[in-house]
Amino acid sequence: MSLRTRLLWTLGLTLTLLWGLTAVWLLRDLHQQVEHTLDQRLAQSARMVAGLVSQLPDEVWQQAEHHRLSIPAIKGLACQVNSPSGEVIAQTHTDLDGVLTPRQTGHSYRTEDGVKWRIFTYQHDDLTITTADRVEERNLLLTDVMMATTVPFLFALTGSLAALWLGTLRGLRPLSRLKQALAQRHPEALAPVEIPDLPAELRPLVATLNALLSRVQQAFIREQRFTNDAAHELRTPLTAIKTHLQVASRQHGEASRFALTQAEKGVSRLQGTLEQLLMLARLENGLDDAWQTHCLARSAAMDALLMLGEEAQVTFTITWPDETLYLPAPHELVVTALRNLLENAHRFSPDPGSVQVCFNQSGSGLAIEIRDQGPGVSDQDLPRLAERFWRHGTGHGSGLGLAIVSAIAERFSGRLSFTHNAPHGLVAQLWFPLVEDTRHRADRPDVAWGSPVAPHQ
Amino acid sequence: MHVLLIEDDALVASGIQAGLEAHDFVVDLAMSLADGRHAMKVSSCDAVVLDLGLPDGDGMTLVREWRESNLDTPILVLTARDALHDRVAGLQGGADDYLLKPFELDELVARLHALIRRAAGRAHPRITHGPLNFDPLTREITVSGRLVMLQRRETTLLEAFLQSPTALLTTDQLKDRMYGLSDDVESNALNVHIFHLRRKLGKGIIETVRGLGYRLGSPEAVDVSQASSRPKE
Repeated sequence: MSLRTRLLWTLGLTLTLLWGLTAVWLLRDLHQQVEHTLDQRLAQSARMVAGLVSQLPDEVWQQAEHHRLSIPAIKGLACQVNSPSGEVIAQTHTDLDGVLTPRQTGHSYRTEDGVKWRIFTYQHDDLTITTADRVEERNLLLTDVMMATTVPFLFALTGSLAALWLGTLRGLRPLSRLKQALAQRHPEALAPVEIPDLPAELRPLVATLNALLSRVQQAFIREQRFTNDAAHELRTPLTAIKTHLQVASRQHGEASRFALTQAEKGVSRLQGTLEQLLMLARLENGLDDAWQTHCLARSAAMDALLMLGEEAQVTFTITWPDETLYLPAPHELVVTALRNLLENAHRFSPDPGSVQVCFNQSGSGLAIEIRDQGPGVSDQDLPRLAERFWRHGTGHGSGLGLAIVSAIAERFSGRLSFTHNAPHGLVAQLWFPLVEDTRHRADRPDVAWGSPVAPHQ
Repeated sequence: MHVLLIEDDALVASGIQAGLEAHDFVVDLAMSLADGRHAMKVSSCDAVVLDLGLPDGDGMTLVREWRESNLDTPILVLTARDALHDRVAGLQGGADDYLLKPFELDELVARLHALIRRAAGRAHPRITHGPLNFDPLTREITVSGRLVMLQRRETTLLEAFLQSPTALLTTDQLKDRMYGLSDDVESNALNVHIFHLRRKLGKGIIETVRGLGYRLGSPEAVDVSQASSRPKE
């Protein structure tokens, strides 16, 4: 049920019910009051006649013994005065003897010849005065009064309902406009909703909607870029493989063998990219059960350094972490993160060059700083370093390495940031909180590492 | 035929280069926008194979640049991005064809031939010159239905003449068609190839215009008797 229909029904029914009840109550009351008033008029008339009759001079009484006195008729009212002996002394209507025959005093109803009467009988100084009202006439009067009261009521009720209808329609018009604007949109349109002259109540709604739309749009663009980039990263080695295989099948001897070697290179690259994508997906979708919850910082650093290739003339200067520092992340992942950072520094270092690796315990965390003397990146590229598939210049690798480091850091309450190195180069800072609880240390036997040396120089 | 390949990924580039060379294309490789721009300036080519994602920018900038300077060399765009708007933008930007990676080498070759053929204003893929018949795709040359065996460079040279049957081609233009930028060309190599063509197809197949260059001889000059006795299957 629409808001408008519900509002109209609720308010309309309530209004009708309240007005109706009030009207019924009022009319009942009015009915009683009118009846009462008419009865009183009847009684007053009787008393008035009694008052008049009692002041009549004796001659009149003597005359009355011979023939009945006639009282001028009041419209709609009949009256008769009876002597104590029951004789009619005076009357308004001569044809109403049956109706006006005195009975017990007070008000009563009497039906005579199919006509209903309201009777009042009054005893005064031995005289009995009977007054009568035709009920039909009383009812006509009553109906008139009721009508006079009901018509304004009906008018007011109709007016109120009309005002309610118009007011609701008008009041909800901004909502209808919003509904229309939303209905007319293309289901995939993400442009902000723009409706002029919105009431204050709807403005926050539309603002929130627009903010949401803009966020969705950004996410959509990011997603699209990611898909596009992933397609590019996967299709490029695939193209290399396919093309070289086709060349190999058409050539013979050395050329064919060379093409096959190239195709194999493409396969390893594709495998690398796939594995990195899977790693990212795993990091985002929860942990492998096999992963431990924490690791020894020093052994992870050692493993990461040992994994680096030894071909380049790059000197690693390392400030080792304390032997008892534990990080709240699985050993394999800390190694992966460190290795990716080290490989990056290694890759962009001049030949010969040097990379400084520094583990700094600061309060509740461990900051790992890796400084290289490579070309560094521009200011606007600095925040894009950890973006997926972002590569520096002609680039090596899949552009996922730093994205993985960032994902690992985020997954385990750490963070990754980059700054410029002076005079040139890049500083990568990876920070992890330290595991406070010493009980964890018993889980993994401490490995006795030799004196801290750079694994290769 | 001379193709300029602009592709930044060395592995992909070497594959395409080897593949195209196997189909008798002469390939110049450029690995960035700047290299491509330079290569286009210093030598003429029959077609460009362009990758869109280049390290120093989007390949489409080259397409627009060239089209604005009225360079109408056919351009085939290669890309790994398959979003529709990418494709539409590519073609609207002035590219002539579009191929999604990974692709069949044969398709690339066929499309390049079609592009070059269309650029030369021919509707039919085969080129005929009197009794001589040349299929650019299969590289088959027949004279009166009999196969003529030519070497790779000779075929490329003949193709250059057949593609511009009335034009006067300078020595430099012919060398551009036959050799890549990186090829070491001996000074008399062109003369040697022309000599061989004349020997196999008739003296008048190529006319020398003294001091200016060469042009294709009349169709009557094709020597029917020189063709091998093996009829074309």
